[in-house]
Amino acid sequence: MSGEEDSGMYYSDDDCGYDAYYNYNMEDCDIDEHDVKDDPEYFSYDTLRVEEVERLLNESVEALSNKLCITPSLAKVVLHTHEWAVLPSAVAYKNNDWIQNLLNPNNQPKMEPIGQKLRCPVCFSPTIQEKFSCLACSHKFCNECWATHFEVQIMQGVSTGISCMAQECGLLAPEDFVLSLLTKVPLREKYQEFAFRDYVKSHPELRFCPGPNCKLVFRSKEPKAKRTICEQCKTTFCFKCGTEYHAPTDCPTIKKWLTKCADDSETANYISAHTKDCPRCHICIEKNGGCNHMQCYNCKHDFCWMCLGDWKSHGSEYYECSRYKENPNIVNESVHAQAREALKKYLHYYERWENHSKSLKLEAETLEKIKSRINAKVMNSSGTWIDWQYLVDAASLLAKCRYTLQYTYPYAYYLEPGPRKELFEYQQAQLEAEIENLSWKIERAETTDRGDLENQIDIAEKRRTTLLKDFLHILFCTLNTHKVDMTKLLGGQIGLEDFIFAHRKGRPKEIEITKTEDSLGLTITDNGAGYAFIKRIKEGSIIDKIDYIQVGDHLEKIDNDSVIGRRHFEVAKMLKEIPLGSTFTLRLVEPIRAGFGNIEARGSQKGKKKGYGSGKETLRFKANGQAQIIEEPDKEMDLGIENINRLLENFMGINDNELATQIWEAAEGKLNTMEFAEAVDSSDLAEFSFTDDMIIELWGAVTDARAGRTRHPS
Amino acid sequence: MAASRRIQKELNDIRTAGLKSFRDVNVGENNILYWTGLIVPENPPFNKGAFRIEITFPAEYPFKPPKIAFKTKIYHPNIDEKGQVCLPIISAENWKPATKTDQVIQALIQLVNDPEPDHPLRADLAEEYTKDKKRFFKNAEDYTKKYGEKRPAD
Repeated sequence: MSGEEDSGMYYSDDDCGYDAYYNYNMEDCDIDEHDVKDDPEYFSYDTLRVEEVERLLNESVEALSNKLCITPSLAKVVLHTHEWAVLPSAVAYKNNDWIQNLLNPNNQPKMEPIGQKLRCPVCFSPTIQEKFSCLACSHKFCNECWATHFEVQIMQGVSTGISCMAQECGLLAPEDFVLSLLTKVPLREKYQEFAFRDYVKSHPELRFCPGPNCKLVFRSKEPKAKRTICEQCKTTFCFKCGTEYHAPTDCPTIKKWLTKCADDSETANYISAHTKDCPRCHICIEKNGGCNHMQCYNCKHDFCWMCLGDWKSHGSEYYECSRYKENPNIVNESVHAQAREALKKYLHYYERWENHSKSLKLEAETLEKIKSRINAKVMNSSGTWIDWQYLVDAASLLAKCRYTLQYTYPYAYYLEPGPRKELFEYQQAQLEAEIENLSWKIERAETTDRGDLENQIDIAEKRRTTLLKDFLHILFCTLNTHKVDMTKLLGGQIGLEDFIFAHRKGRPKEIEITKTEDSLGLTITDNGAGYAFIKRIKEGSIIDKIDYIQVGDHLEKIDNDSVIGRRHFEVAKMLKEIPLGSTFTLRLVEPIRAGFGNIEARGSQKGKKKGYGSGKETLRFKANGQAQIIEEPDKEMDLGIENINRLLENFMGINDNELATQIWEAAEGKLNTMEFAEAVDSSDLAEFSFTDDMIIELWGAVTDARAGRTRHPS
Repeated sequence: MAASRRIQKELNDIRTAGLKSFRDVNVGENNILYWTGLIVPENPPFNKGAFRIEITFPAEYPFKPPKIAFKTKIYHPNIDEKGQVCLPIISAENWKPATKTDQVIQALIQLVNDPEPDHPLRADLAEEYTKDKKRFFKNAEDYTKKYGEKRPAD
């Protein structure tokens, strides 16, 4: 752990730790810890005053300057250019990575002696040698020029970016150098103010309050795109990007979306969708009637809107262009069609985004109306003021829900089509329905009977948190089972009758493993979207002996190499290539074990690979409505796949369950090697071009499995 | 004025150096902060004429950069119709007080002789320059002959 993190922790304990502790016990005693951690919008941050930020920065500065034996001022320059991380800064300093063009002999300005004096290369005035100063690059200039240089730069808003005056020298001037030469007090103050602003902006854990004239700074050790509320000016913003809070959309997406809405990129699309260029003079023409015979208003050229060909060749075919199909301009046409489609899609999402934004404003007016209605009711002695407060609460929750709903549209717009998008849009629709329900009920609340409305509040808020939770923390989805069943992992396809179960990310874990055997006993699969998971763990294997590793865990890193984005066989290969006897670290993320799987005796929860249906049968609802208990997929098949997998591992170095299953299925109903070989060759398995020997081996594995034998590769 | 000593010296140095490609340097009446001069390019297609430029020094010179503008029309991707030129060495971000005017002029001559189509002020000319160099040369030469100033005799 770096010095910076150490000191940071000490700091936070000192300032906020006790406060938080007492608050927790005294005020929030009805909220248990689980609720807070489970809240998808939960975010821990500290509010710092300027002095506190300075103290925090100084701790890093001190740590680095002590470590490298350099001045605190120089340490500040290095830290500022390296996101205030002490260790990387130290490394960069030692490697001289932090400066450019240091002491480039060709760039040395000539120092022309004039009698006892030297000519300053900037003002050309003769000056005595004592009145020259330079940075580590030895580019000497007179003190007066340095001071003017600083003044001019500061007036332009530059502070930490002030560099040496020599041509092409990028060496930055540390604070003490600037302050030792800058004499004007107002500019010294400005410099320090600007430098402080730059330091906070370059520090990844710090964020200025974006509120107007607000001086507070927020700090989070885990900077995330979460909701931050300024206690002073009440501004709500996203910690990561400092703009309006935008869950569930992420920072780059919301930025893209807002730019898209603001600029005229969509106007360009409109032009593309409704206009074409004149084939002769290339002026842009909008089609404002139904007729395809166009005349360019600019060059008076007659042409066909459909094929952009000369109208003369169309003769009497008035409304229909017979040459349309074979015209090479079809390529252009499809570009226009694409633009039209894109415009339609954008408008769909934009309308809804705009609509909810408008509704939010309207509902702010409704809140005012509610308040006056409450007053009227209280005056008429129908309930007390207290009795009616639930309506105000309901209205504020409605605003919160609608806000989230508004921000789901940019996310959905950029989401790739597929099961994830379908799931998201399903949840979005659910939330939308509940919100409209709530809005309707609030506007028409006539009695103090709060039961129904409170119920509605609860549903809407649940929908909102579910949506946020899922899309912030989703790990994988399974089809038609709530279990962590990696054979039911949702990949690309989804059927009409399929149910999708989303499994959320649980805790990450790092486990050190020593490879004592060739095989780790892991079967790996992936979801086709860059996440690899543990599909199966072989009994008695190295991994099986480690209780913390379970089926369904997502493999994130092997040692320090991220495996996100890799296919399952690549990950398997990486694991296979780890030399025997060496020790490596696996970083895994487990799915939250929730739902029905946890309903069993408390004592038994500790055991691994248990509890996800211990029975051998499945209850299946048939299409005709009857429930039927059917046998679990037979042992024979499991054994067969296991046998085949072992051969595959030998043959190709991968353990691939999908492939093994396909081979097993190819062998189904086959009576001999010849039939089996034929089945393999006529399927897409042919592309693996298994050797005859391999086919014989595979057939052996199949027959062994049919006879209930385990087969080991010969 | 702090700037005058340096500008005066720079002017003397440039005049004594007698550059072939930058000559005829004149200073504004009672205003040493305003210079004019004649750029005489060596490379085709601009070597068929010469181009008058003006250099304006700010009062804060040399702590702020001078400005350069073309008075003669030129067919060049990096110089627009108003005569504005995009020269990184005198941009506010890159400017260094120790940079001397002769270095700035050298950079300008270099840019006139070898256009940089990757950072164009006139996208249409940059496109022509990269896609159809022959046509660009022809157009630029015609333009130079039509609008350019006479080249000095020697």
